[in-house]
Amino acid sequence: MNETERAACAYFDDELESVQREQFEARLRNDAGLRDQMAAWSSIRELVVGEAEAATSDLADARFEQIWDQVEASLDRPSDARIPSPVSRGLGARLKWLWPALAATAATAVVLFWWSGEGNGPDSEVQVARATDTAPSIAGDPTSPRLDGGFGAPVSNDLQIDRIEFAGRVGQIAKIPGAKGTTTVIWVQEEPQPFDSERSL
Amino acid sequence: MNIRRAIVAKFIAVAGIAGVLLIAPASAIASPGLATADLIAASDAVAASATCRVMSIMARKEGGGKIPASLELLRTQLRSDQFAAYRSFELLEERRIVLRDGKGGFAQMKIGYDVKLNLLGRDASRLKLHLRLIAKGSAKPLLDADYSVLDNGMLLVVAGMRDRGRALFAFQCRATS
Repeated sequence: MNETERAACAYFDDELESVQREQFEARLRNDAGLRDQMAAWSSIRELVVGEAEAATSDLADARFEQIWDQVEASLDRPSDARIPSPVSRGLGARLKWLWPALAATAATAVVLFWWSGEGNGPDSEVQVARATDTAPSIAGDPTSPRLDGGFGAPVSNDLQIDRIEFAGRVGQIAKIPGAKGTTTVIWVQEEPQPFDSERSL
Repeated sequence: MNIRRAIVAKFIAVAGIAGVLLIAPASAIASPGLATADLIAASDAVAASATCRVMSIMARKEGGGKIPASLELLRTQLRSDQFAAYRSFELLEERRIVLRDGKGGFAQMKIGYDVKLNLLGRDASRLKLHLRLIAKGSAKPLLDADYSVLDNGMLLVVAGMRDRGRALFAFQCRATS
């Protein structure tokens, strides 16, 4: 690297003192080749810096996405939680004077119900059981709207396996730790699926 | 108007409280409470039923890494190292199996597996279950297990390859009355 190139590099990196800078700029005005070289360096720098800035902006988005996922994961929201709407709050407030009466009436109704059904205790349980026996074992319909059915998010699982048999080649039991306890995962390696082929005998 | 409402409310409240005070002791005297045996029988009837949710999920190694809203309850599990190799999860089907009085429940999952569940027993907080997962066309269950779990607890089973992905099942059972 000669003296001119060294000065050009220093000028390009903004490392020249003011006097040297003025001298180099005067030289730059008279040297077309030097101007072309500086223009080429500038183009390269813009490309590099532009790429880096673009990468940085993508990284920021990705990082934000990751942080958001973590925030969502850390939220402890039971799926059956219900947020009271402003409408229902307003209605409750408007009917505030009626609550004591409703509570007393409900208590009376419960006592009356208990009293009237007292003689039928166990029989009523049997009737309920028989009535529900007629219901199909499989109650789910995948085409119907998904209802939680009181399940909600799984609680602390604390699962114990008393007996296990694998028909496949390999089986493995693993545990996933979580804020609400561990979840048991059973990995089953299935035998290769048989397939029909004209060549098979 | 407000005074009238207040009077009506107080009247109903007084009537209700009076009803509680008069009827409850009367019924307790007429029949000295529910017999203890009745209570035990009722609780036994309740204990012998459970409802299980069975979810079939497809795990694939391609995808954007998002957990769909339908699988939000499994976010922690699906984000764990156990499933780090999989980038997308899709809930294919969700079924309910009602288990009652020792009778087993059965579901044919569209992904190509049959699920058989049986309620073996229950104590105060745990359900004891028998699970069989059978690949379609196979005589022997791929998985045959007895396990006990807390009410509303979940078991995950990762089965074989289907449709360029891995079949995954989530079993969640709760006691029902």
